[in-house]
Amino acid sequence: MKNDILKIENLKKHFGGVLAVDDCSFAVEQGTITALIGPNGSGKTTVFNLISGVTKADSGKILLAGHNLLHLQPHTISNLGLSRVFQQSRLFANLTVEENLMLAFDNEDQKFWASFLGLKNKNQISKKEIIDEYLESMRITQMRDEQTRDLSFGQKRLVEILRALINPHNLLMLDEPVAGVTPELRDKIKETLLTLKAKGETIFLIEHDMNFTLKVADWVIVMDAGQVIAEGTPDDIRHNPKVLEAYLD
Amino acid sequence: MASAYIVHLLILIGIYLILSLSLNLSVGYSGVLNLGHIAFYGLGAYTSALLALAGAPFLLCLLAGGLVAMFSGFLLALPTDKIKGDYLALVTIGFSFIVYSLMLNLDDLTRGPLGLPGIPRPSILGFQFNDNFYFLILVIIIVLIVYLTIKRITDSPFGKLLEATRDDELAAKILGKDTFKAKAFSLAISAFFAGIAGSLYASYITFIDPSSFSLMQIIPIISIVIVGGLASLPGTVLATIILTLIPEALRFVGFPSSILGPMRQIIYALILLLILIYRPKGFWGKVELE
Repeated sequence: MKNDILKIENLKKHFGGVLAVDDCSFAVEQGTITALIGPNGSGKTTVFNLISGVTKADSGKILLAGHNLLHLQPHTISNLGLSRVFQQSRLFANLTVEENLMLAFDNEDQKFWASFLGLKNKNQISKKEIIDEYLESMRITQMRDEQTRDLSFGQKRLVEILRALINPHNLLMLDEPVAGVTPELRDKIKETLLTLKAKGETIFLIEHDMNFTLKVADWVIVMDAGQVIAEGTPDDIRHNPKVLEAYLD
Repeated sequence: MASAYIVHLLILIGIYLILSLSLNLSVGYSGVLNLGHIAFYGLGAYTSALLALAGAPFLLCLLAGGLVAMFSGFLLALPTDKIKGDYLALVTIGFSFIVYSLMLNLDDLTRGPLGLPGIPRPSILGFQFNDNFYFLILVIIIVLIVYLTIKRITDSPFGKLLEATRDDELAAKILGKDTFKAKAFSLAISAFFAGIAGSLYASYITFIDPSSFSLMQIIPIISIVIVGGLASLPGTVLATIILTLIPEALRFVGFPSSILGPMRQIIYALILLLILIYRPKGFWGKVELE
């Protein structure tokens, strides 16, 4: 029996007269890398926005580890175990890399009185050590004290992935993690995702780079015009006539 | 005579410092474009003055002034969950108008445009602060407490959460942060200190009327915050001193008092324009105005 961490059932979303997501149903199995692909405008990012609470769905069900996420606020959804990276950089531009990453841990340190009275200072030290390990693993330790507004596009991407990784989660959602990055960085990200999967992480990603997607994903869901048109293993998808038609249209 | 004038100026700088440091907490650190700060200042002043006139001790008046302002800060925080940016600024302006209107029209309580005269000078443990020099020492102590408290807040993880909310509220929410709660705390603390400044002002001048708390009075304070730099406490201190002293120089040029007031507004507007064009981060700020 499949152990699904995320289940989407009959999800619908209108924007005015446009039906952006039309009765979508699919699931993401725990411990896998699942890719959501489809031509531009097929509704992939809207699905991500609906799951993470950025946009409210019209109807349907979004179940994360059994919790229905429909109508919940993004911060509540995040605290139920969802971590996300956006398509565009959403780092805190005026904070340093370390400050960005420190904010990704749980919310205990940032509670007003605990924070003001310094009750969690010991936590802060151990969290800084964890950050050091993460930065070291990506070989970007030298960026720790830089304001993120000064980083290159690729560096921002890495820091965002690290931030999402540190954010406590059961499911990691990445919206186009390798779009616009150098081939070296692309390989680094691929290596990181495969290492994470080996450690038992569940990853759900949107990606346009088919070569990358079909190499890392265990399961692929294809959307077109707001609907799920196919799903299966990368090999199934590669030869699926409906998928080929959607991309060639 | 000259030293009395300098002491007077230093007291005004101190009161402005409390106002501008606290405004920087909500505008510079939390990104809440709060143009209703003067309303908190006025609420603090009126609460404190009414209690003092009823015979309450100074420290109680000071605290009550801060708490009433803080409560109204919480109220003003309620729309921040739904309304953002320029629209929120309009809400805060509306709030300022409402408070001003109450000061003007609640005659039985505030005496309307006639104001409240005869507010007693502070007295703590039997020590009277009738001499301005001693009043200045009291102001310096309170300014130091306010500065260190705000610095402690902004350097803490809670302060970083405020900055994250300012930079990208949605990204902060996606990391599981309750940004509404953070902004409400920041606005309430900011309002508390503005109320304290109002209380000090009322007990220093010993007379208040609604004209001291009209919306126009926000111009010098917001100018200080922008010129000093958003999210910069040393910048705010420097800008408070400079922007309080520059218009004072006009007194010695010999302009009639009818011209002096408008000239000050022109100077603030000019400085603000030059800063926006040539130094969008202000003297010491790390956040660029957008």
